[in-house]
Amino acid sequence: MRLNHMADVVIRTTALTRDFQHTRAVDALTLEVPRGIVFGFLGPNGSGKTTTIRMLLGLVAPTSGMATVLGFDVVAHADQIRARSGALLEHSGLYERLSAEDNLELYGRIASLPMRERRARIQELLQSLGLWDRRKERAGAWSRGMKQKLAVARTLLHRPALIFLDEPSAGLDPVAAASLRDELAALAHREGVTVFLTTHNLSEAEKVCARVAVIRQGRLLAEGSPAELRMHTGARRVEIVGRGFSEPVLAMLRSRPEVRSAAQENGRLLLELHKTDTVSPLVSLLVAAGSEIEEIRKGQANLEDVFLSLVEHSRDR
Amino acid sequence: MIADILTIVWKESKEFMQGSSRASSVARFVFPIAVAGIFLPWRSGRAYVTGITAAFGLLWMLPMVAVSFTVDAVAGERERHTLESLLATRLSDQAILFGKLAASVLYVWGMMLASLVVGLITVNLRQRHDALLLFSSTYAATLLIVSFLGSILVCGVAVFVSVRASTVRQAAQTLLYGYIAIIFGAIFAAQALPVSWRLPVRQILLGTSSIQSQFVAGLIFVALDLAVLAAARHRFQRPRLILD
Repeated sequence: MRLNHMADVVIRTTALTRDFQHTRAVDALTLEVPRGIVFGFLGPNGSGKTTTIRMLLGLVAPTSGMATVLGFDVVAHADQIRARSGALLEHSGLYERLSAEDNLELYGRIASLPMRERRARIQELLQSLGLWDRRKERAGAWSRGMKQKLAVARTLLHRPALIFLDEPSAGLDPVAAASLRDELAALAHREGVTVFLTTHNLSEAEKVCARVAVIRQGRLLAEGSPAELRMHTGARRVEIVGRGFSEPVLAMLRSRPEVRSAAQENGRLLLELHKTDTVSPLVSLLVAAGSEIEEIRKGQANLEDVFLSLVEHSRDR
Repeated sequence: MIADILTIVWKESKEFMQGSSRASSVARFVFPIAVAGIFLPWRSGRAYVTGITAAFGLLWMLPMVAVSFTVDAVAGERERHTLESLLATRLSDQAILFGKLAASVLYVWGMMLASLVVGLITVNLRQRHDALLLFSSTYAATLLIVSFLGSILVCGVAVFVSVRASTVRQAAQTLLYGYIAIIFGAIFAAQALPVSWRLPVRQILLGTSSIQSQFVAGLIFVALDLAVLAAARHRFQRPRLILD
Protein backbone atom coordinates (compact mmCIF):
# COMPACT_ATOMS: atom_id res chain seq x y z
CA MET A 1 0.00 0.00 0.00
CA ARG A 2 1.41 3.40 -0.94
CA LEU A 3 -0.39 6.33 0.62
CA ASN A 4 -0.60 9.48 -1.45
CA HIS A 5 -0.74 12.27 1.08
CA MET A 6 1.97 13.05 3.59
CA ALA A 7 -0.75 13.88 6.11
CA ASP A 8 -2.11 10.33 5.91
CA VAL A 9 1.20 8.80 6.90
CA VAL A 10 2.45 8.94 10.46
CA ILE A 11 5.54 6.80 9.99
CA ARG A 12 7.45 6.40 6.76
CA THR A 13 10.69 4.45 6.50
CA THR A 14 12.78 4.00 3.38
CA ALA A 15 15.45 1.28 3.31
CA LEU A 16 15.97 1.83 7.04
CA THR A 17 18.96 -0.19 8.18
CA ARG A 18 20.82 -0.62 11.44
CA ASP A 19 23.98 -2.66 11.96
CA PHE A 20 25.53 -3.67 15.27
CA GLN A 21 29.12 -4.73 14.68
CA HIS A 22 28.64 -8.02 12.79
CA THR A 23 24.85 -8.17 12.99
CA ARG A 24 22.28 -6.45 10.81
CA ALA A 25 19.38 -5.82 13.19
CA VAL A 26 17.15 -4.01 10.69
CA ASP A 27 17.62 -4.58 6.99
CA ALA A 28 16.32 -2.06 4.43
CA LEU A 29 12.94 -1.70 6.08
CA THR A 30 10.45 0.22 3.96
CA LEU A 31 7.16 0.83 5.61
CA GLU A 32 4.25 3.25 5.85
CA VAL A 33 1.94 3.53 8.82
CA PRO A 34 -1.34 5.36 8.17
CA ARG A 35 -2.72 7.84 10.67
CA GLY A 36 -5.29 6.88 13.29
CA ILE A 37 -4.97 3.10 13.30
CA VAL A 38 -3.45 0.42 15.48
CA PHE A 39 -0.53 -0.91 13.47
CA GLY A 40 0.85 -4.30 14.48
CA PHE A 41 4.57 -4.94 14.06
CA LEU A 42 5.09 -8.67 14.36
CA GLY A 43 8.20 -10.78 14.41
CA PRO A 44 9.99 -13.47 16.38
CA ASN A 45 12.44 -12.63 19.15
CA GLY A 46 15.49 -10.81 17.84
CA SER A 47 13.82 -9.85 14.59
CA GLY A 48 14.55 -6.13 14.97
CA LYS A 49 11.27 -4.82 16.38
CA THR A 50 12.77 -3.03 19.36
CA THR A 51 15.64 -1.62 17.30
CA THR A 52 13.10 -0.26 14.82
CA ILE A 53 11.18 1.47 17.60
CA ARG A 54 14.41 2.89 19.00
CA MET A 55 15.32 4.30 15.59
CA LEU A 56 11.85 5.76 15.13
CA LEU A 57 12.15 7.49 18.49
CA GLY A 58 15.60 8.80 17.63
CA LEU A 59 17.25 6.87 20.44
CA VAL A 60 19.51 5.00 18.04
CA ALA A 61 20.67 6.40 14.71
CA PRO A 62 20.13 4.36 11.53
CA THR A 63 23.23 3.04 9.79
CA SER A 64 21.60 3.90 6.45
CA GLY A 65 18.22 4.69 4.99
CA MET A 66 15.83 7.27 6.33
CA ALA A 67 12.65 7.58 8.32
CA THR A 68 10.16 10.26 9.19
CA VAL A 69 7.77 10.13 12.11
CA LEU A 70 4.90 12.64 12.25
CA GLY A 71 6.69 14.42 9.41
CA PHE A 72 9.98 14.80 11.32
CA ASP A 73 13.25 13.19 10.34
CA VAL A 74 14.38 10.68 12.99
CA VAL A 75 17.97 11.94 12.92
CA ALA A 76 17.55 15.69 12.57
CA HIS A 77 14.42 16.26 14.66
CA ALA A 78 14.21 13.38 17.10
CA ASP A 79 13.32 15.75 19.94
CA GLN A 80 10.20 16.87 18.04
CA ILE A 81 9.17 13.24 17.55
CA ARG A 82 9.63 12.42 21.23
CA ALA A 83 7.65 15.53 22.22
CA ARG A 84 4.70 14.44 20.10
CA SER A 85 4.71 10.73 20.81
CA GLY A 86 4.49 8.40 23.79
CA ALA A 87 6.36 5.17 24.35
CA LEU A 88 5.90 2.06 26.43
CA LEU A 89 9.10 0.19 25.75
CA GLU A 90 10.32 -3.28 26.61
CA HIS A 91 10.11 -2.47 30.33
CA SER A 92 7.25 -0.45 31.75
CA GLY A 93 9.72 2.18 32.97
CA LEU A 94 7.61 2.99 36.02
CA TYR A 95 9.27 4.36 39.14
CA GLU A 96 8.28 1.68 41.58
CA ARG A 97 9.10 3.72 44.69
CA LEU A 98 6.75 6.48 43.56
CA SER A 99 2.99 6.35 43.73
CA ALA A 100 0.98 5.83 40.57
CA GLU A 101 -0.09 9.45 40.74
CA ASP A 102 3.50 10.68 41.09
CA ASN A 103 4.58 8.58 38.11
CA LEU A 104 2.02 10.39 35.97
CA GLU A 105 2.79 13.70 37.65
CA LEU A 106 6.42 13.34 36.59
CA TYR A 107 5.59 12.67 32.96
CA GLY A 108 3.00 15.46 32.99
CA ARG A 109 5.71 17.86 34.18
CA ILE A 110 8.09 16.54 31.54
CA ALA A 111 5.44 17.25 28.91
CA SER A 112 5.07 20.78 30.35
CA LEU A 113 1.34 20.35 30.97
CA PRO A 114 0.01 23.18 33.15
CA MET A 115 -0.78 22.03 36.69
CA ARG A 116 -4.56 22.20 36.43
CA GLU A 117 -4.63 20.38 33.09
CA ARG A 118 -2.13 17.83 34.40
CA ARG A 119 -4.22 17.00 37.44
CA ALA A 120 -7.41 16.73 35.39
CA ARG A 121 -5.74 14.53 32.80
CA ILE A 122 -4.25 12.22 35.44
CA GLN A 123 -7.67 11.82 37.03
CA GLU A 124 -9.33 11.21 33.66
CA LEU A 125 -6.87 8.49 32.64
CA LEU A 126 -6.70 6.73 36.00
CA GLN A 127 -10.47 6.71 36.29
CA SER A 128 -10.92 5.35 32.78
CA LEU A 129 -8.51 2.51 33.59
CA GLY A 130 -10.08 1.79 36.99
CA LEU A 131 -6.92 2.80 38.89
CA TRP A 132 -8.02 6.06 40.51
CA ASP A 133 -8.83 4.64 43.93
CA ARG A 134 -5.32 3.21 44.26
CA ARG A 135 -3.44 6.22 42.94
CA LYS A 136 -1.60 6.87 46.21
CA GLU A 137 -0.10 3.38 46.38
CA ARG A 138 3.46 2.71 45.30
CA ALA A 139 3.53 1.45 41.72
CA GLY A 140 5.93 -1.30 42.81
CA ALA A 141 3.21 -2.87 44.93
CA TRP A 142 0.88 -3.32 41.98
CA SER A 143 0.29 -6.39 39.83
CA ARG A 144 1.98 -6.53 36.44
CA GLY A 145 -1.34 -5.99 34.67
CA MET A 146 -2.04 -2.82 36.65
CA LYS A 147 1.48 -1.57 36.06
CA GLN A 148 1.08 -2.04 32.31
CA LYS A 149 -2.20 -0.12 32.38
CA LEU A 150 -0.48 2.66 34.28
CA ALA A 151 2.34 2.67 31.75
CA VAL A 152 -0.20 2.93 28.92
CA ALA A 153 -1.82 5.85 30.74
CA ARG A 154 1.61 7.47 30.98
CA THR A 155 2.13 7.23 27.22
CA LEU A 156 -1.23 8.92 26.58
CA LEU A 157 -0.90 11.62 29.23
CA HIS A 158 0.17 14.47 26.95
CA ARG A 159 -2.30 13.51 24.20
CA PRO A 160 0.35 12.40 21.71
CA ALA A 161 -0.46 11.86 18.06
CA LEU A 162 1.37 8.53 18.10
CA ILE A 163 2.27 5.94 20.72
CA PHE A 164 4.78 3.10 20.52
CA LEU A 165 3.93 0.01 22.53
CA ASP A 166 6.62 -2.66 22.68
CA GLU A 167 5.07 -5.96 23.77
CA PRO A 168 2.61 -4.36 26.22
CA SER A 169 0.97 -7.67 27.14
CA ALA A 170 4.20 -9.67 27.58
CA GLY A 171 4.17 -11.57 30.84
CA LEU A 172 0.49 -10.96 31.53
CA ASP A 173 -1.97 -13.74 32.21
CA PRO A 174 -4.71 -14.16 29.56
CA VAL A 175 -7.30 -12.27 31.59
CA ALA A 176 -5.00 -9.32 32.24
CA ALA A 177 -3.82 -9.35 28.62
CA ALA A 178 -7.42 -9.29 27.34
CA SER A 179 -8.30 -6.51 29.76
CA LEU A 180 -5.30 -4.44 28.67
CA ARG A 181 -6.10 -5.08 25.02
CA ASP A 182 -9.69 -3.91 25.43
CA GLU A 183 -8.66 -0.82 27.40
CA LEU A 184 -6.00 -0.04 24.82
CA ALA A 185 -8.35 -0.38 21.88
CA ALA A 186 -10.96 1.79 23.59
CA LEU A 187 -8.45 4.47 24.59
CA ALA A 188 -6.82 4.54 21.17
CA HIS A 189 -10.21 4.93 19.53
CA ARG A 190 -11.37 7.62 21.97
CA GLU A 191 -8.11 9.61 21.79
CA GLY A 192 -7.75 9.24 18.02
CA VAL A 193 -4.14 8.24 18.44
CA THR A 194 -2.06 6.12 16.08
CA VAL A 195 -0.64 3.06 17.83
CA PHE A 196 2.53 1.28 16.70
CA LEU A 197 2.27 -2.03 18.51
CA THR A 198 4.79 -4.85 18.63
CA THR A 199 3.47 -8.07 20.03
CA HIS A 200 3.97 -11.80 20.17
CA ASN A 201 0.32 -12.26 20.90
CA LEU A 202 -1.08 -12.83 17.42
CA SER A 203 -4.68 -13.20 18.45
CA GLU A 204 -4.29 -9.83 20.14
CA ALA A 205 -2.87 -8.35 16.95
CA GLU A 206 -5.70 -9.86 14.93
CA LYS A 207 -8.29 -8.30 17.24
CA VAL A 208 -6.91 -4.79 17.56
CA CYS A 209 -4.73 -4.09 14.53
CA ALA A 210 -6.09 -2.57 11.35
CA ARG A 211 -2.80 -3.33 9.58
CA VAL A 212 0.16 -5.51 10.42
CA ALA A 213 3.71 -5.94 9.20
CA VAL A 214 5.74 -9.09 9.72
CA ILE A 215 9.52 -8.93 9.98
CA ARG A 216 12.20 -11.54 10.47
CA GLN A 217 15.92 -10.91 10.84
CA GLY A 218 15.22 -7.25 10.23
CA ARG A 219 13.53 -7.84 6.87
CA LEU A 220 9.94 -7.05 6.06
CA LEU A 221 8.18 -10.25 5.01
CA ALA A 222 4.65 -8.98 4.50
CA GLU A 223 2.45 -6.01 5.23
CA GLY A 224 -1.29 -5.45 5.00
CA SER A 225 -4.53 -5.85 6.90
CA PRO A 226 -4.92 -9.16 8.75
CA ALA A 227 -7.56 -10.15 6.21
CA GLU A 228 -5.25 -9.34 3.29
CA LEU A 229 -2.45 -11.38 4.80
CA ARG A 230 -4.75 -14.31 5.36
CA MET A 231 -5.93 -14.06 1.78
CA HIS A 232 -2.51 -13.83 0.24
CA THR A 233 -0.49 -15.99 2.50
CA GLY A 234 -2.71 -18.22 4.52
CA ALA A 235 -3.91 -21.66 3.58
CA ARG A 236 -7.53 -22.68 3.79
CA ARG A 237 -8.24 -25.17 6.54
CA VAL A 238 -10.76 -28.01 6.38
CA GLU A 239 -11.66 -30.33 9.20
CA ILE A 240 -13.52 -33.55 8.30
CA VAL A 241 -15.12 -35.70 11.00
CA GLY A 242 -15.73 -39.34 10.13
CA ARG A 243 -14.08 -42.76 9.81
CA GLY A 244 -11.77 -44.61 7.50
CA PHE A 245 -8.97 -42.05 7.19
CA SER A 246 -6.25 -44.66 6.80
CA GLU A 247 -2.63 -44.00 5.89
CA PRO A 248 -3.17 -44.88 2.17
CA VAL A 249 -6.06 -42.41 2.10
CA LEU A 250 -3.85 -39.71 3.65
CA ALA A 251 -1.09 -40.52 1.15
CA MET A 252 -3.58 -40.23 -1.70
CA LEU A 253 -4.73 -36.83 -0.42
CA ARG A 254 -1.16 -35.56 0.01
CA SER A 255 -0.43 -36.42 -3.61
CA ARG A 256 -3.15 -34.04 -4.78
CA PRO A 257 -1.85 -30.64 -5.99
CA GLU A 258 -4.52 -28.64 -4.17
CA VAL A 259 -3.61 -30.20 -0.82
CA ARG A 260 -0.91 -28.47 1.17
CA SER A 261 -0.99 -30.88 4.09
CA ALA A 262 -3.13 -33.71 5.43
CA ALA A 263 -3.10 -35.23 8.89
CA GLN A 264 -5.29 -37.28 11.18
CA GLU A 265 -5.91 -36.22 14.74
CA ASN A 266 -8.39 -37.81 17.19
CA GLY A 267 -10.46 -39.32 14.41
CA ARG A 268 -10.58 -36.06 12.48
CA LEU A 269 -8.97 -35.41 9.15
CA LEU A 270 -7.21 -32.03 9.06
CA LEU A 271 -6.50 -30.59 5.62
CA GLU A 272 -4.75 -27.41 4.56
CA LEU A 273 -5.62 -26.39 1.00
CA HIS A 274 -4.13 -23.83 -1.28
CA LYS A 275 -6.20 -20.71 -1.02
CA THR A 276 -8.39 -20.90 -4.10
CA ASP A 277 -9.19 -24.59 -4.13
CA THR A 278 -12.55 -26.04 -3.19
CA VAL A 279 -13.11 -29.09 -1.03
CA SER A 280 -15.80 -30.98 -2.97
CA PRO A 281 -13.49 -33.01 -5.30
CA LEU A 282 -11.59 -34.22 -2.26
CA VAL A 283 -14.79 -35.29 -0.52
CA SER A 284 -15.71 -37.32 -3.59
CA LEU A 285 -12.30 -38.97 -3.53
CA LEU A 286 -12.62 -39.82 0.15
CA VAL A 287 -16.03 -41.39 -0.33
CA ALA A 288 -14.73 -43.35 -3.32
CA ALA A 289 -11.87 -44.62 -1.15
CA GLY A 290 -14.32 -45.98 1.41
CA SER A 291 -14.17 -43.27 4.05
CA GLU A 292 -17.33 -42.28 5.93
CA ILE A 293 -17.93 -38.57 6.34
CA GLU A 294 -20.14 -37.15 9.10
CA GLU A 295 -19.26 -33.48 9.12
CA ILE A 296 -17.12 -30.99 7.23
CA ARG A 297 -15.91 -27.72 8.80
CA LYS A 298 -14.23 -25.11 6.67
CA GLY A 299 -12.15 -22.26 8.06
CA GLN A 300 -9.66 -19.59 7.20
CA ALA A 301 -6.13 -19.60 8.50
CA ASN A 302 -5.69 -17.22 11.40
CA LEU A 303 -2.93 -14.66 11.77
CA GLU A 304 -0.83 -17.13 13.70
CA ASP A 305 -0.87 -19.53 10.76
CA VAL A 306 0.03 -16.69 8.43
CA PHE A 307 2.84 -15.59 10.70
CA LEU A 308 4.30 -19.08 11.04
CA SER A 309 3.96 -19.68 7.35
CA LEU A 310 5.78 -16.42 6.52
CA VAL A 311 8.56 -17.07 9.01
CA GLU A 312 9.05 -20.66 7.82
CA HIS A 313 8.95 -19.60 4.21
CA SER A 314 11.61 -16.94 4.84
CA ARG A 315 13.78 -19.59 6.54
CA ASP A 316 13.56 -21.82 3.48
CA ARG A 317 14.74 -19.03 1.19
CA MET B 1 15.88 23.92 30.13
CA ILE B 2 15.70 25.20 33.74
CA ALA B 3 12.15 23.88 34.12
CA ASP B 4 13.26 20.49 32.79
CA ILE B 5 16.21 20.38 35.20
CA LEU B 6 13.86 21.23 38.07
CA THR B 7 11.53 18.42 36.98
CA ILE B 8 14.39 15.94 37.23
CA VAL B 9 15.45 17.40 40.59
CA TRP B 10 11.86 16.93 41.80
CA LYS B 11 11.83 13.34 40.58
CA GLU B 12 15.22 12.45 42.06
CA SER B 13 14.51 13.94 45.45
CA LYS B 14 11.07 12.34 45.61
CA GLU B 15 12.48 8.95 44.66
CA PHE B 16 15.36 9.24 47.11
CA MET B 17 13.12 10.31 49.99
CA GLN B 18 10.85 7.35 49.31
CA GLY B 19 13.67 4.81 49.49
CA SER B 20 13.21 1.12 49.91
CA SER B 21 12.15 1.48 53.57
CA ARG B 22 11.53 4.24 56.12
CA ALA B 23 14.45 3.02 58.24
CA SER B 24 16.90 3.21 55.33
CA SER B 25 15.61 6.66 54.39
CA VAL B 26 16.20 7.93 57.94
CA ALA B 27 19.63 6.25 58.12
CA ARG B 28 20.72 8.03 54.94
CA PHE B 29 20.15 11.40 56.62
CA VAL B 30 20.99 10.67 60.24
CA PHE B 31 24.13 8.55 60.08
CA PRO B 32 26.47 10.92 58.14
CA ILE B 33 25.40 13.90 60.26
CA ALA B 34 25.77 11.90 63.46
CA VAL B 35 29.40 11.15 62.58
CA ALA B 36 30.48 14.46 61.00
CA GLY B 37 28.23 16.74 63.06
CA ILE B 38 28.21 15.11 66.50
CA PHE B 39 30.95 12.51 66.96
CA LEU B 40 33.89 14.44 65.44
CA PRO B 41 33.10 17.86 67.03
CA TRP B 42 32.46 16.23 70.41
CA ARG B 43 35.87 14.58 70.34
CA SER B 44 37.68 17.63 68.96
CA GLY B 45 36.18 20.24 71.21
CA ARG B 46 37.37 23.78 70.52
CA ALA B 47 39.75 22.54 67.80
CA TYR B 48 36.67 21.85 65.67
CA VAL B 49 36.31 25.54 64.86
CA THR B 50 40.04 26.35 64.71
CA GLY B 51 41.71 23.22 63.29
CA ILE B 52 41.06 21.10 60.25
CA THR B 53 38.61 18.69 61.94
CA ALA B 54 35.61 20.29 60.27
CA ALA B 55 37.27 20.02 56.86
CA PHE B 56 38.21 16.41 57.63
CA GLY B 57 34.61 15.67 58.61
CA LEU B 58 33.38 16.98 55.27
CA LEU B 59 36.06 15.02 53.45
CA TRP B 60 34.90 11.86 55.18
CA MET B 61 31.25 12.55 54.57
CA LEU B 62 31.45 13.61 50.93
CA PRO B 63 31.88 10.25 49.20
CA MET B 64 29.43 8.48 51.48
CA VAL B 65 26.49 10.75 50.71
CA ALA B 66 27.49 11.49 47.12
CA VAL B 67 27.82 7.85 46.20
CA SER B 68 24.53 6.82 47.79
CA PHE B 69 22.57 9.51 45.97
CA THR B 70 24.29 9.92 42.62
CA VAL B 71 24.86 6.26 41.91
CA ASP B 72 21.22 5.54 42.67
CA ALA B 73 20.15 8.37 40.35
CA VAL B 74 22.15 7.15 37.37
CA ALA B 75 23.19 3.49 37.63
CA GLY B 76 20.05 2.75 39.68
CA GLU B 77 17.85 4.19 36.97
CA ARG B 78 19.44 1.89 34.42
CA GLU B 79 19.28 -1.12 36.76
CA ARG B 80 15.58 -0.56 37.41
CA HIS B 81 14.92 -0.21 33.64
CA THR B 82 13.46 3.28 33.92
CA LEU B 83 16.20 5.11 32.04
CA GLU B 84 15.07 4.20 28.53
CA SER B 85 11.53 5.47 29.16
CA LEU B 86 12.98 8.74 30.42
CA LEU B 87 15.19 8.97 27.35
CA ALA B 88 12.13 8.42 25.15
CA THR B 89 10.66 11.74 26.32
CA ARG B 90 11.30 15.20 24.90
CA LEU B 91 13.87 16.00 27.60
CA SER B 92 17.34 16.80 26.30
CA ASP B 93 20.36 14.79 27.40
CA GLN B 94 21.71 17.86 29.17
CA ALA B 95 18.48 18.46 31.09
CA ILE B 96 18.48 14.89 32.38
CA LEU B 97 22.20 14.96 33.23
CA PHE B 98 22.21 18.36 34.90
CA GLY B 99 18.94 17.59 36.69
CA LYS B 100 20.51 14.52 38.22
CA LEU B 101 23.70 16.42 39.01
CA ALA B 102 21.83 19.34 40.54
CA ALA B 103 19.78 17.02 42.74
CA SER B 104 22.94 15.21 43.85
CA VAL B 105 24.89 18.41 44.56
CA LEU B 106 21.97 19.98 46.45
CA TYR B 107 21.63 16.90 48.60
CA VAL B 108 25.36 16.44 49.22
CA TRP B 109 26.03 20.11 49.89
CA GLY B 110 22.92 20.38 52.04
CA MET B 111 24.06 17.44 54.13
CA MET B 112 27.51 19.00 54.52
CA LEU B 113 26.09 22.35 55.61
CA ALA B 114 23.75 20.58 58.00
CA SER B 115 26.69 18.69 59.51
CA LEU B 116 28.59 21.97 60.02
CA VAL B 117 25.61 23.58 61.74
CA VAL B 118 25.07 20.51 63.93
CA GLY B 119 28.85 20.45 64.58
CA LEU B 120 28.78 24.05 65.86
CA ILE B 121 25.84 23.28 68.12
CA THR B 122 27.61 20.16 69.41
CA VAL B 123 30.91 21.90 70.15
CA ASN B 124 29.18 24.79 71.91
CA LEU B 125 27.12 22.45 74.04
CA ARG B 126 30.27 20.59 75.02
CA GLN B 127 32.48 23.59 75.76
CA ARG B 128 29.81 25.68 77.53
CA HIS B 129 31.71 28.94 76.92
CA ASP B 130 30.13 32.29 77.58
CA ALA B 131 30.87 33.35 74.03
CA LEU B 132 29.74 31.29 71.08
CA LEU B 133 32.43 29.23 69.37
CA LEU B 134 32.24 29.92 65.64
CA PHE B 135 34.39 29.41 62.58
CA SER B 136 36.35 32.45 61.51
CA SER B 137 34.70 34.20 58.58
CA THR B 138 37.50 33.15 56.18
CA TYR B 139 37.42 29.54 57.40
CA ALA B 140 33.62 29.47 57.11
CA ALA B 141 33.85 30.86 53.57
CA THR B 142 36.50 28.28 52.68
CA LEU B 143 34.37 25.46 54.06
CA LEU B 144 31.31 26.65 52.14
CA ILE B 145 33.18 27.07 48.86
CA VAL B 146 35.27 23.91 49.14
CA SER B 147 32.26 21.82 50.14
CA PHE B 148 30.27 23.19 47.19
CA LEU B 149 33.04 22.68 44.64
CA GLY B 150 33.86 19.30 46.20
CA SER B 151 30.21 18.24 45.87
CA ILE B 152 30.22 19.11 42.19
CA LEU B 153 33.49 17.28 41.65
CA VAL B 154 32.51 14.07 43.45
CA CYS B 155 28.97 14.02 42.02
CA GLY B 156 30.36 14.63 38.53
CA VAL B 157 32.81 11.75 38.90
CA ALA B 158 29.99 9.60 40.29
CA VAL B 159 27.82 10.35 37.23
CA PHE B 160 30.75 9.61 34.93
CA VAL B 161 31.38 6.24 36.55
CA SER B 162 27.69 5.36 36.97
CA VAL B 163 26.90 5.90 33.30
CA ARG B 164 29.27 3.09 32.39
CA ALA B 165 28.38 0.76 35.26
CA SER B 166 25.73 -1.85 34.65
CA THR B 167 24.69 -2.07 38.29
CA VAL B 168 24.53 0.19 41.34
CA ARG B 169 26.90 -2.10 43.22
CA GLN B 170 29.51 -1.99 40.48
CA ALA B 171 29.41 1.81 40.34
CA ALA B 172 29.52 2.18 44.13
CA GLN B 173 32.48 -0.18 44.44
CA THR B 174 34.44 1.55 41.69
CA LEU B 175 33.84 4.95 43.27
CA LEU B 176 34.66 3.93 46.81
CA TYR B 177 37.86 2.14 45.83
CA GLY B 178 38.85 5.15 43.75
CA TYR B 179 38.06 7.53 46.59
CA ILE B 180 40.02 5.48 49.12
CA ALA B 181 42.98 5.41 46.73
CA ILE B 182 42.80 9.21 46.30
CA ILE B 183 42.52 9.87 50.06
CA PHE B 184 45.40 7.57 50.96
CA GLY B 185 47.40 8.92 48.04
CA ALA B 186 46.78 12.46 49.27
CA ILE B 187 47.82 11.55 52.83
CA PHE B 188 51.03 9.91 51.65
CA ALA B 189 51.70 12.78 49.27
CA ALA B 190 51.16 15.30 52.09
CA GLN B 191 53.62 13.41 54.29
CA ALA B 192 56.11 13.31 51.46
CA LEU B 193 55.85 17.08 50.98
CA PRO B 194 58.72 19.17 52.31
CA VAL B 195 57.77 20.82 55.61
CA SER B 196 58.05 24.24 53.98
CA TRP B 197 55.25 23.24 51.53
CA ARG B 198 52.88 21.81 54.12
CA LEU B 199 52.18 25.11 55.79
CA PRO B 200 50.71 26.84 52.69
CA VAL B 201 48.43 23.84 52.06
CA ARG B 202 47.21 23.95 55.65
CA GLN B 203 46.74 27.72 55.40
CA ILE B 204 44.67 27.33 52.25
CA LEU B 205 42.46 24.73 53.93
CA LEU B 206 41.97 26.91 57.00
CA GLY B 207 41.43 30.04 54.95
CA THR B 208 44.42 31.79 56.52
CA SER B 209 46.59 32.00 53.41
CA SER B 210 46.82 35.05 51.19
CA ILE B 211 43.89 35.99 48.99
CA GLN B 212 45.97 35.22 45.90
CA SER B 213 46.71 31.66 47.10
CA GLN B 214 43.05 31.09 47.94
CA PHE B 215 42.04 32.39 44.54
CA VAL B 216 44.49 30.16 42.69
CA ALA B 217 43.39 27.10 44.72
CA GLY B 218 39.77 27.97 43.96
CA LEU B 219 40.50 28.31 40.25
CA ILE B 220 42.18 24.91 40.16
CA PHE B 221 39.14 23.39 41.89
CA VAL B 222 36.75 25.09 39.44
CA ALA B 223 38.84 23.87 36.49
CA LEU B 224 38.68 20.32 37.84
CA ASP B 225 34.90 20.61 38.25
CA LEU B 226 34.48 21.89 34.69
CA ALA B 227 36.64 19.10 33.31
CA VAL B 228 34.60 16.45 35.13
CA LEU B 229 31.29 18.02 34.04
CA ALA B 230 32.47 18.15 30.43
CA ALA B 231 33.49 14.48 30.58
CA ALA B 232 30.14 13.50 32.13
CA ARG B 233 28.27 15.49 29.47
CA HIS B 234 30.28 13.84 26.73
CA ARG B 235 29.39 10.41 28.05
CA PHE B 236 25.75 11.10 28.90
CA GLN B 237 24.29 10.80 25.39
CA ARG B 238 21.22 8.87 24.35
CA PRO B 239 22.80 6.44 21.87
CA ARG B 240 25.57 5.55 24.32
CA LEU B 241 23.17 5.13 27.20
CA ILE B 242 20.89 2.90 25.14
CA LEU B 243 23.57 0.75 23.54
CA ASP B 244 26.11 0.44 26.37
